[in-house]
Amino acid sequence: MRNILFLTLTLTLATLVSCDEADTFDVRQDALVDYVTDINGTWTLHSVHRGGSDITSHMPSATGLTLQVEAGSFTLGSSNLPFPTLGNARTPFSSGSWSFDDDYQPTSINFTNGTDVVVTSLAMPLYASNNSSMGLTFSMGCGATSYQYNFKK
Amino acid sequence: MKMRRFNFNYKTFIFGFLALPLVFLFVTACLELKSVDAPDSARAGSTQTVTLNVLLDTENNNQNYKRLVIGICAPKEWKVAENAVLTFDSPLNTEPRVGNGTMILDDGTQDKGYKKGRGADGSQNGLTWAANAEEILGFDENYGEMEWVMYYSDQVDAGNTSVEGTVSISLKVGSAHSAAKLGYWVGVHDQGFKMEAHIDASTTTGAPSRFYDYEWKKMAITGASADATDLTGPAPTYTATVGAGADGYTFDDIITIGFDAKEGYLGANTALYNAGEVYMCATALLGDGTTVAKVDRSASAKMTLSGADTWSKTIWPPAYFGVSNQIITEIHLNFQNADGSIVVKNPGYGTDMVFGEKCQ
Repeated sequence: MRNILFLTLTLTLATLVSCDEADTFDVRQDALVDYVTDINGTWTLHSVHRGGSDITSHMPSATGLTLQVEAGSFTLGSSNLPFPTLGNARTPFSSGSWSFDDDYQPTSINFTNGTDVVVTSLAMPLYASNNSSMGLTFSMGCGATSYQYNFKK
Repeated sequence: MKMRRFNFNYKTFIFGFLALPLVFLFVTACLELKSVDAPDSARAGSTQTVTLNVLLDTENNNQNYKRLVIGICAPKEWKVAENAVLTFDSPLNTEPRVGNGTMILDDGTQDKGYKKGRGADGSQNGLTWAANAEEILGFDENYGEMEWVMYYSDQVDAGNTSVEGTVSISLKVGSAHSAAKLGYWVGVHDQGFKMEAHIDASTTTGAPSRFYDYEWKKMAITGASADATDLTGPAPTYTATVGAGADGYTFDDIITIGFDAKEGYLGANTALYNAGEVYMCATALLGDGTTVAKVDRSASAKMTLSGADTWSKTIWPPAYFGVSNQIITEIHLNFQNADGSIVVKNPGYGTDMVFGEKCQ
């Protein structure tokens, strides 16, 4: 009887001892704050896809395209490649202003020359800062033919 | 001197006397195609109605037993003989040979008099109606792949009149072509393609002949397949290709031009077969009718070997031709060796290969 009582007491004690306080985490205060996505800088075209196929090697000058992005403005370097703002469906423009559809979690960029607005989709999510890759998807002439430009900074 | 004796054959006389009115009944009638109401464009796969407004002038000769003959020139791919339905209507209502009804497809058997085609002299020449149409009218601007399909009406009692009627044509539009120039011909079975001037009294002076009239009318086809051809343009070639993927292209797209040196005239090799270098000589036709030529065989025009005697070049046309604020409507291509001593154009035609936009 004494052994049973001792065993019961030991198991109860062991159970109580095994319980510990829940883990606690330190959360940085700034992690709870949304930050505006930053893409300022000079972007250089890395690859061109047409209808899902990589055609970069077919256009030797493709990787020469640059996109200079500053606070609210953009400038497209000269190249032999199309860009959403250069189509003949409107007056083409290679510089102007830009904005995200959502400054914090953007899915598209709106390029404008003050008159025309060209909405271009982002092919991949962008982080608040330190973005080194950016993908743009768009169509130019035949609507069903899509392009993806992958830029690197 | 031997005198020739005149034998009076009363059977010949009676037959001739009875046949005389029939001669008048069948030899005169004037036809004119007053107008063709046809859509300028239509969607591939749709059914379109074309209305021919026809003037029949019997030139004051009472006429019976007329059969109206209608010809349609359309792309073979449309299978007009299988898909088209033709009806005709007019104020002629003399029973039992009324001036309305459904027209009958000419099957080309020539087993009855009215099914035997008549050529430019108006006589039966052993050819079908369709063969006569092809020989006399041809295919106008269409480079080929067209056919004439003929229909005739039941007998009509035209009487002594000048009457306007309509022919309604239901056509199913195919998808293999982006444009075609359709032909419409109207005539009568006893004259066919007989060429003869109008008489002064006739009201149908707008037709080329007293006995028939025709008109060509272009129809653009939207929603055609990506490899559809414009029948009113140059014949397609397999020597060169232009593309930007399965859905087609416009000249705002990045396009890839292919050249196959093995696809020459009737499948023979081109003069650039086994060439070490191939240059693309291209001319852009702009929306305002002007052209921009890039035919200098510069480094930027040099093509890349992409397979066994196949070459390719990928360009964005506005930048390649230096065009801004202008629409490129066509690109004309030929291919040359480094010094320009060998030039390959559209085999069998000797002209540049012409490409327009193709977008589904």
